[in-house]
Amino acid sequence: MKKYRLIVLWCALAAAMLPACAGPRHIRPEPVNPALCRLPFSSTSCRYIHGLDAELPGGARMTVMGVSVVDPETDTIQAAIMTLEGLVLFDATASGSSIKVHRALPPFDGPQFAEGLMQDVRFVFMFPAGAPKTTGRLDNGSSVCRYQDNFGMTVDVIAHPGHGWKVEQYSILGKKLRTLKISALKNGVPGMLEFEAFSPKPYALHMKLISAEPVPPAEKK
Amino acid sequence: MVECFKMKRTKAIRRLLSLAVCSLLLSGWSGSWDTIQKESEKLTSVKARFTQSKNMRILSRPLVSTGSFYFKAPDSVRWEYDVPVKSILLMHKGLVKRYTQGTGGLTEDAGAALQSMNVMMQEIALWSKGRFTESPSFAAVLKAGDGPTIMLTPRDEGLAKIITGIEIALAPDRPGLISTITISEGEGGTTVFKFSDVQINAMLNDSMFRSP
Repeated sequence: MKKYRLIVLWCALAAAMLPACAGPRHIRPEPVNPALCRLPFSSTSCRYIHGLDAELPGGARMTVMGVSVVDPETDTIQAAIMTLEGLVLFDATASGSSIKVHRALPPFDGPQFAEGLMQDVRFVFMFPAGAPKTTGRLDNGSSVCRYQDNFGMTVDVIAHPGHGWKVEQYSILGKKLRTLKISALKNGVPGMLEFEAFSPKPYALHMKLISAEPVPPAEKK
Repeated sequence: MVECFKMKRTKAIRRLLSLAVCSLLLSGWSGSWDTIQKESEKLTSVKARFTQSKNMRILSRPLVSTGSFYFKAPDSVRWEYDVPVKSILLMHKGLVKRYTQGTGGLTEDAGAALQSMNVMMQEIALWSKGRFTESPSFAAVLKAGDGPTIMLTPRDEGLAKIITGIEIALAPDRPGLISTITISEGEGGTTVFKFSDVQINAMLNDSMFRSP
C-alpha cells in the first residue's frame, strides 16, 4: 500500500512538473536569416492602436482599447488602456528599467501591475536585442531564431511559412512565461496578435489592429 | 481583483450612460432648471448618432469612435458603437449587458452585467426628470446664454480622480439641442461626444433594449 502511494505521488509530481519544465522546443540547428524572424517587428518608433479582447484570470472577459507607442531606438514604451467609452484606466511610460505611471485606476494601481503590463507590452512589440544564440528548424519545417538574454531567459521567434509567426518566452528553468501569435502582415503590420501570459496569473489578449503609424522624430522630443 | 475591476468599470459605464441619457434629454430647452424639468418630462424617447473623440497625451490626433444612441423612458438605453470596435451596451429594466464583436460574432461581456443597478436607476430617474441638481455624483451649474452650458463637477474626491469635470454645450443656433459633451480626465485628457440626427419621441421597440 505504501509503495502504491509512493508511485501515485511520484506520478502526480511528474505530471505537475512536466508542463513547467518542458522547456523550449527542440530545434535542428540550421542557418536561418534573422530578418525572416524580425519581419513582423518594427525597428523604428511606431504608434499602435488595438481593440483588446481580454480573457482574465477566473474566466472573466472584457473589451477595451489599447494605445502603444514603441521606440526600439531609445528602448521606450508608452502604453494606455481605455474603455470603449474613452475612460482611461491606465497610462504609463517605461524607459529602460524605469517606469512612470501617469494614471492608474484601481485595480490597475497595484505596485506590480505597471511593471508586469509594461513587460508584456515590451514582449509583444519589441524584438529581442542582439543576435540569435542559435537558429534552426522545427520538425514541421518552421524556421526558428532563438535568443537568450543576460538573465537566462529564452525567446524563440518561430516563422511559419505562410502562417505568420509565434514568439515563445521561457524562464531560465524552462517554464513557459509568455507566447504571442502573429498573423500574416497587412502593409507590414500584423492585423491580429494573440498574446498569452502564463505566470504569475494566466491571462490572454486578442489584439485586433485599429491603426498603426510611424512616430516622427519631432514628436518624440 | 477581477471583481473589483468589474465594479469600477461598471460604475464608469453607469456614469457615462447616465451622462449620455441626461444630455440627450436636455433637447428642447435652454433656460432654467425648471424649464429643463418640464421639457424633460415631455420626452418618451431619443434617437441620435454620435461621434466620440478621445484626446490624450499618447495620441497624436483624436481617436474617433462613432455609433448610435437610443433612449426610451423611463430607463431603457441602447449605446451602440459601429467603429472602431463594434459593441452594444444595453440597459433595460435594471439589467445591463454589453456585447462586443469577436471572432465568433457578438459575445456578451460578463464584466458589465454583474452589478446591482440600484444606483444607476436612481441616477436615471433623477436625470430623466431633469433633476440634475439632485444627483449624488455631480454638482450641476447652469450657465445661460446664446449657447447655454451645463457644468458638472464631481461631488466626491474619489470620482474627481477619475473625471475632473463635464461640460455640456447646447447648440446656439438650435435652442435646447445638445452640441457637445466634453468629459475631462485631467492632464489634458478629454472625451468629446457630438450628437447629430437627433430624433425625439420616435417609436422605439422594447426588443432593441433587450438584445443586440
